[in-house]
Formats: sequence, C-alpha cells, structure tokens
Amino acid sequence: MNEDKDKRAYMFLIIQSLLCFLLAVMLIAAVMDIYRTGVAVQAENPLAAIFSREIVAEHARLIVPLFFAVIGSSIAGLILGAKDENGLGPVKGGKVENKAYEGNTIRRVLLVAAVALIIAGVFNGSALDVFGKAVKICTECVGLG
Amino acid sequence: MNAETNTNIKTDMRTDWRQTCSPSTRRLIQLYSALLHNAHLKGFIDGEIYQGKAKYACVPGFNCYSCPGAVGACPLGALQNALAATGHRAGWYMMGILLLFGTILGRTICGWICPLGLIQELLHKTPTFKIKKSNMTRMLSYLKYVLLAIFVVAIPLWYGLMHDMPMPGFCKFICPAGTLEGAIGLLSNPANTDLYSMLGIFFTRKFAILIIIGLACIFCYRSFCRFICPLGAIYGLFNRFCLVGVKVDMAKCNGCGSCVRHCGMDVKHVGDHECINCAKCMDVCAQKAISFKAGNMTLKAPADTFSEDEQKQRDRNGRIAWGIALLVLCLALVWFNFLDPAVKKTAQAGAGTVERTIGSEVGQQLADFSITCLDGSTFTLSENRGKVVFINLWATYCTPCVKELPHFDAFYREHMDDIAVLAVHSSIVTDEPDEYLSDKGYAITFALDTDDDYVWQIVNGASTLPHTIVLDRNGVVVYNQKGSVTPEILAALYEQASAIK
Repeated sequence: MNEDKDKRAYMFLIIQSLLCFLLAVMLIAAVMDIYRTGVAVQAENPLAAIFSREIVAEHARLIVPLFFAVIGSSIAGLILGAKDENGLGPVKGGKVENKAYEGNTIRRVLLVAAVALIIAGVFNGSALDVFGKAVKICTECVGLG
Repeated sequence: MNAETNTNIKTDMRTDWRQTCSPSTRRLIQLYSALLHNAHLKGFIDGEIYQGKAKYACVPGFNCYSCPGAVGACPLGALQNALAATGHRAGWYMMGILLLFGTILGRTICGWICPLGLIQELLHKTPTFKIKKSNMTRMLSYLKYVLLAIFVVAIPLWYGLMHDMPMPGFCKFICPAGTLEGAIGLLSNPANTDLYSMLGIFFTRKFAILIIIGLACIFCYRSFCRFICPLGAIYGLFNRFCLVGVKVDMAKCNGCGSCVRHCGMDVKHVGDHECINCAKCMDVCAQKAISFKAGNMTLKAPADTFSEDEQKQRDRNGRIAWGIALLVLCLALVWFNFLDPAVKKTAQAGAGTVERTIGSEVGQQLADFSITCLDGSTFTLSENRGKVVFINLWATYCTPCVKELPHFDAFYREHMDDIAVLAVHSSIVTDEPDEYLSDKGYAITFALDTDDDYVWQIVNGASTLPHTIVLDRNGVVVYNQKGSVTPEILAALYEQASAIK
C-alpha cells in the first residue's frame, strides 16, 4: 500500500518539477520574444513601445493556463502530502562545535554608535536621501526602464 | 477490507495536510510582518506608491520602496543611494539604521520578518524534487558577499564619486524584489498602463532573473537568501552578538551536530553568519540545549522547560503580545490608508484631477504657468507659444534623469530658435540642483518645483521619474510619458510636434 503511494508521489513530483521548469522557460521565452519583436519595431519608429498591455496579454494566453495548472497541482500535492522529504531532511555530518555567543559589551557599544549615527544622519541630510529616493522612484532602478 | 483501506488513506491524507499546511507561529509572524511592511493597501487599488513621511524610516526586511503597498524605505536600496551620495555627504543615517537592526535582530530578520523570506519559503512548499544542502551550496553561500562588494558597495561608490551619478547596482541589475513588488506591482494595475511604454532591456533582463531566482527557490530552500541576498550578508555579520536569536546552552550541548544536519541553511554551527535564527533546530536537539532568546528573556524554549504554571503565564503573555500586535496592525492599516496627510493629499489631488490637470493629456491644452528659474529668470509657458516646448521632470538622485539631461541639452543647442526646454527638479531636494549643475554647462532652463508641487501637478507628474511632456507650437500636449528618452525619441517627438500647425 505504502509502495503504491510512494510511486504515485514520485510520479507526481516528476510531473510537477517538469511543469515548474516548463513554466519558467515559457515565461522567459515570452519576455525575450516581446523584447526582440519590440526592438525591431522601435528601430523603425523610435516612439513605438516595446511592451504594451495588449502584447503581454497575447503572450499570457499560453502561459496563464500552465500557471494555474502548476498552482492547482501544487495545492493537490500539498493535500495529498506528496513531497520530497529529502529537501530539508538531515544531511550527513559529524560532531559540531557550537559556541555560546554573548558579546554584551560589543552590543552596547554598537547600539550607542547606531543611535549616534542615525542622529548625525538626520542632521547631515542623509535621512533626506532615503526619503527622496523612496517617494520619487527612479524607474530604471526598479527594473522598469 | 476496502473500506478499511480507504479510511487509512483518508486519515493519512488529513494528517499530511495538517502537517504541511497548518501555520507555525513563525509563519504567522512572517505574514504579519509582510502585511505591516506593505500596510498601504490602498496603493494596490489606485496604483500609486505611498509618499508619506514614514518613508524616512527603513523597514528591517527586504521590501522594495516602489511597491505600491510599501510604507518604509528598503534598507538595501537606501544603502546604495547613501553610498552613491558619498561625494556630497557621508551616509551616516543608513549606517546607523543597519547597525541598529543588525545589533538588535541580526539575521532573525531573515527568518522571521523579511517578506522576501516568506515568499521564498512558500515557493519551496511547491511539491517538487528538492536539492539538498551540500559542499556546493555551502560554497555558493559566499556568493552573496561578492555581490555585496560589487553591486552594493563598489558600483554605487564608483559612479557616485567618479561620475557624480547615483547608480544603485543591485537594484538596477539584479534585485528580484524590485521587479516583483515594484515593477510588476505597478504594472499589474490598470491605472499604470502608461508605464508599459518605458519597459525595455532592463525589465527584460530583470524579469528573466526574477524567474530564475523563483525557480531556484522552488527546488532549493531559500536560494536567494542563501546565495544572493546582500542584506542577509550584512545582517549575518552581526549574528554572533545580536540581541534576539537562537542561543546554545553549552552546558547541555554535547556537540552531536543534529542541529546543523537538520538545518536548511548552510550553517557550520548554530548562530553563525548563515543562521537565520528560525529556531527549527530546537525541535531536533535531544539535549534541549537550544532556545530562542532576546537577551536574558527566553522567547521560545524546548518542550517541558517550564513548569505548568510558568507555561500558563507564558501562554497568557503570548496572547497579550498577539493582541497588541494586532492592534498595532489595525492602527497602521487605518493610518496608512486613510489618515496619513500624504494619503489625504493624494486623494484630494486625484479628486481634483478632472478640473485641475485637465489639459495634461495628449491632445489637450496645458494650463499656463510661470515658475522662477534657477538663474533668477521667470519661465512663462504662454510666452513660448510658437515654439515646441519640452518639459522634463527630474531629480539629482534619479540615474536615468541625470543621464538624459545631456540629450536635452544637445537637442536644445541644435534647435535653439525653435524649441524651449524646461527641466523642473522635484520639490524633494537632496543635493542643491544649482550646485549640482554648476559645472555641467547646460544651456537649457532649469527650475525647482515649489513645495506644493506646482508644475508637477499641472503636468500630472507622479511618483516615478524621469517624466517628459512635449507641447506643440499652440501649447497642446503631444507627449506625456514617464521613462527615459533618447536622442532618437527627442528627434521623433520634435518632428511630430512640428508637423502640427
């Protein structure tokens, strides 16, 4: 009985792993395809956009069903308890020399230094740097372009 | 027989389901933290990022500040910008913040607080084959220190000092949190359809990186955290003496190594720089030598450590702590979505959009305005009728903004008699714009927006930079887009605007 269950779980894990790989490959291929096509169009018309909601939606038609298939089978797998126990299972290894870290003095010194630096930062304008960047975001920096 | 077998299967399934899916205290804290990091839920609905004063503060975990829900600044992004500004001022503030988080929490942040840590753990729940830790993963765990040195420290410092240009290397080239929470978070909102026009090679590359990292996290526990995350690398330096974390009672420890063998991270011993203080090792320690502590206070201890009365008292304290935490969350949700003055300001601006910013969309007449320029002159829009007008919204701390200024300048010099170019700096100033521009020799007109974002509101400028608006000779908008422009785009826009009589 358990062997049958193990076999089913094994097959399930193979299929699920392949589905995940396939989904990732399709996502990367889709974004590359959109970019390649868009660049060709932009070479003729600099004002043309490489990406658009319509183009993305067109490519998503193929990917979305696969995405939901992966989600669905993941939920099914969780319910059925199919999992690779080895993933977070114990590895081989021998004795370990654990250490009792204390460092109360270092901690106190660092805490005082941290507070002093924060106060200095408020006065030298580096706190404003943090705020400025966080409220007026640079599009390139978050991967928009 | 069959009935009996079916009953067994169902029982097994239910047991598995409960074992796999019932959330632990740590998971609940991770979810709580992710929600608190992104308490500006309104941002997911209207597609705008939070712009309130809370963003002066950094959150401890990895959470992009361009996520529509983010209520604080990302410590890694802020650190890179602080390093990039080294030529102007030392980044004391960020150093202090990281020192504070590191000393108090260390990598407990990674294990209990970081929203990206939660995402990685949920991805790893996907039932697939898993890759075990090995000498190879142990070796790979040092990669994050290389990435920290190159992308977080060297690149921002080099560009900041040598080119006077902010260049957050990790955010720009790698960060999956920026792509997922920032880029995709903003793009998924129909209100931000115009952002699609600025997507190009950066998005393509970072999207591919995001997918690869996501896939790695499915097969290998916390791949990003273990091999790539520079923030984890920084916090790891503090792990030995941080206040909160797992501690080993050396009097009880017999060095059996069960803790290390069962750990998902590449630790050599409990509490080292790779340990995320998740405290899972407590469950496998037969000696009951490991506990989770904050200074001398024991937060989590092995079973049977406390007497029945003590345990009851601890349970009561735990319930009170959860009550307070939920109250804080409720207050945060109310504040960041309804009461914060910045949220109210955005709502008022949105309500007034129909009347006030009418004319900022393509085909509409832009409202006339006058603004004092950095050289003391006044720029009045109506005085430039008959010319093609380029209005550029920029800031000294925006990399693509400062990179495209030379394009505007060159284009202006080429068509000086036929065009006007006004570059308006954001009202948020970190480096004085006139000081920044003093040695650049640009011929275009520069102005600093007023504290109440006067020009920004007229042209419907948002929280993303750069932003360019082009008006034809009659003052009608022909282009109003966020994102960078190239010389080719400027030439095409000029041609388009000139064609309209």
